[in-house]
Amino acid sequence: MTDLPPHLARVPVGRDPFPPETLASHQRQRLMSAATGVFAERGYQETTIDNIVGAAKASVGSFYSLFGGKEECFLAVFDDIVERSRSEIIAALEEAESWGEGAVLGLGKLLSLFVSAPQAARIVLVEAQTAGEAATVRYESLLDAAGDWLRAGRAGKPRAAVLTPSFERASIAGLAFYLQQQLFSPETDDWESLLEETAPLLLEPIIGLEALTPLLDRAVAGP
Amino acid sequence: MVRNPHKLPRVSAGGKEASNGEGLPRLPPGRHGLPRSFVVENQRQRLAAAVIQVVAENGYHAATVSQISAAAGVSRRTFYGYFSSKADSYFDTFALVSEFILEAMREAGDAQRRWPARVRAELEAMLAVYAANPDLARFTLLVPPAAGGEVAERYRAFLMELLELLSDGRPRNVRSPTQAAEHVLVGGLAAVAGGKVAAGEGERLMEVLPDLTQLVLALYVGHDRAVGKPGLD
Repeated sequence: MTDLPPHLARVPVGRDPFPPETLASHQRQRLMSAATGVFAERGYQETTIDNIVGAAKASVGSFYSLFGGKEECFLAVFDDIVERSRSEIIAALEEAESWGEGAVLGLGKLLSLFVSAPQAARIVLVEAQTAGEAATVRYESLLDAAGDWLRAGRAGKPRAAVLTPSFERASIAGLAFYLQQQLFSPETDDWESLLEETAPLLLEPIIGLEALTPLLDRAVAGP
Repeated sequence: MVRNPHKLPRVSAGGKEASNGEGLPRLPPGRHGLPRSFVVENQRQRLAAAVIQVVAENGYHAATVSQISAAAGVSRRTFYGYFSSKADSYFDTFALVSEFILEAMREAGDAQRRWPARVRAELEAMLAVYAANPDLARFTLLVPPAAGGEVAERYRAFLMELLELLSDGRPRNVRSPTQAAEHVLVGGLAAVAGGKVAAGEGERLMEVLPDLTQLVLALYVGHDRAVGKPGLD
């Protein structure tokens, strides 16, 4: 049986010690969680691996057994945040009966995640643009995917015919810019206000105010 | 022809064929029409041009005082005679560049009486500068968000200055947009223009003029009324 590392030595070990995979994944989670905080507080450029392992109370060796370097760690953190957020947003709009309703619920969920996890928000919206080319590509792809989703709303909506081809790209990038601004100078910490501010900008041109208003009212009123 | 009150030095167009034998960046012909005379003598302007070129090519963090000095054809010692640091040279140059662009826009807008045509003229002037000088577009739109920190902060302030300029002169009966709406608009403008340059299509920037004009007008009068304004085609 392999010796447990010191920080686990006090944990009672039964007949089945922690399998290496569990330890490794627990270690990975701890490092990624610590990295999220460090990247968000210091910025990507100023963060060192020592900062991360210090915050995680882990060893440099354990870091390198999991990540090739700072950039790889950042990308793992980014991907993890995006994947978890995506699942939650998809779950939120599952019950929607129309594209518009799904859009409002999805945007609402996105904004509630934004407000409840500002460090994660900072990683995705701010630091990803400063963390090298691979991260920038991921950031751009994220905006592209969101733009594609928004564009799908035009189908069957006569009022959307007047919108410019750049409307979706400008709206998504604009929303990102606004949220970045909120991270630096927050005006509100409730997602309902953010939804009421931003939903009309993105959705009224597509589905119209008459359709949007009841959807918004329901979304902020809650279940 | 655009006046040049701040005597902006020449900047290279894409950095590829730009340098002449002395290593000075060369400005391509274009509607901005900067006179040739002032650049050659003035070291400080050569330094500003070098800051733009080196930062546009390498990004803010990778740019060095050595690279900037070399591109300007001066020694590092000369550089430090003008600036206390890379950051100092960057912010000084950014102020010069942003004011140049805003002034070009103002001048173009002042020639128009009606606000929708004014907005279009202002955007056209901005796109003209960027189309003729992709390094300026990279310097003001692409580099700063990637640099983070105070560099990105200065960029955000520039976008707000852009917005103020574009909304200036609007009729009193158009609605005042919310702050959120303003941020979304100006962030979107920068992304559409910057995206074209990032995709290597900087010389086709004028293609997005109708789009951008409509987006700006829609912020105040809604998309329905923003479409098909006279003189917008």
